[in-house]
Amino acid sequence: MHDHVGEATAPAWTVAVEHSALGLAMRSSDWLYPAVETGHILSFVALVGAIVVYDLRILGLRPAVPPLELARLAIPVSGAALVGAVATGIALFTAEASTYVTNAVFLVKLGLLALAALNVAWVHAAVRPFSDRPIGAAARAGAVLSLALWPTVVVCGRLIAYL
Amino acid sequence: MIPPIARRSLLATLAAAAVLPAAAARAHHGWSGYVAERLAILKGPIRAVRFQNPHCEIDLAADGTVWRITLAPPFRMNARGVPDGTLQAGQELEIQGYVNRSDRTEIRAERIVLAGRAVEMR
Repeated sequence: MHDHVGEATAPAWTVAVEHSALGLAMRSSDWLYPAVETGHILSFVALVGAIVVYDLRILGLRPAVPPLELARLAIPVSGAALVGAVATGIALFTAEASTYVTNAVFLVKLGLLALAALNVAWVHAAVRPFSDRPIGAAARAGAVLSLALWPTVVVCGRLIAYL
Repeated sequence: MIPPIARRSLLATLAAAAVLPAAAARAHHGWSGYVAERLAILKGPIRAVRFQNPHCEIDLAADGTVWRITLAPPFRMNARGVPDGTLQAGQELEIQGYVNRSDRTEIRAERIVLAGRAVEMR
C-alpha cells in the first residue's frame, strides 16, 4: 500500500535506491519528507549566504573587514551547511530516485554543483583564505564565478519540482 | 566596486533565473505542464493506492485506461479528512483534474469525490 511503483524504464540502481530503507521511510513517514526538505532549505540558505558574503569581500566590498577574519567565520559555516545540504539532498533523492535521474534540470544542477565545487578549490588555491595573502585577479575571477554558480544551483534545485 | 565581468555574470544568472521557469514543460507544481483549459472528470474503480510523500497517488481505471492520479501530500490528505486507509483499491471514485501535457495518463487532481463528498486537493 505504501510502496512507490518505480517507472518501468527506470535503471535498476535507482529502483534499488527507492526501495532502500531510507527511501521507504522518506515516502511512508508523514513528517520525515517535509522535515528533510526544510532542513535542505535551511542548509543551502546558510551555505549560499556565507559564500556570497565572502565572495563580495574578495571582490573588494567592505575593505575594512579583514579577509582572514571573515574566512574564519564564513568558511566553517559554509562547510557545515554543505554537509547538511548534501546529506538532506541524498535523503530527498532516495524518495524518488528514478524520477530525478530523468529530470533534465536535476542533471544540470548536479553538473553545476560539480563546477561550483571545483571553483571552491580554485578560490582556495588562489586566496589561501586562512593566510594573509593579498587578493589577486585569479581569486576575483573565482569569486565572480562563485556568485554566478551557487545561485544558479539553487534555481535549478527549485525547478526540479516544476519540470 | 564590482568589476564589469562580475556584473555581467550576475546579470546572466538573473536572466537565467527569469527564463528557466518558462521552459518548464512537465510541471509538477506549476500549471504550465497541465492542460488547464479543460477539467477532466473521471469515474471508476481505484486500482492501487500509494499514500506517500511527496504526493499521494492512486491508479484509477476509467474509459479503458489506468490513470495515475496525483493527489495531495500526506499531511494535506490528513487535514482534508482523507487519511491513509480511507482510499482503498476497488473503491469507486470520481476525480476532477488536469491531464499532464507530456504524460497523457497522469492527472493532477483538483478534487476527488468520495461517496458524494468533494475533497479539495489544492
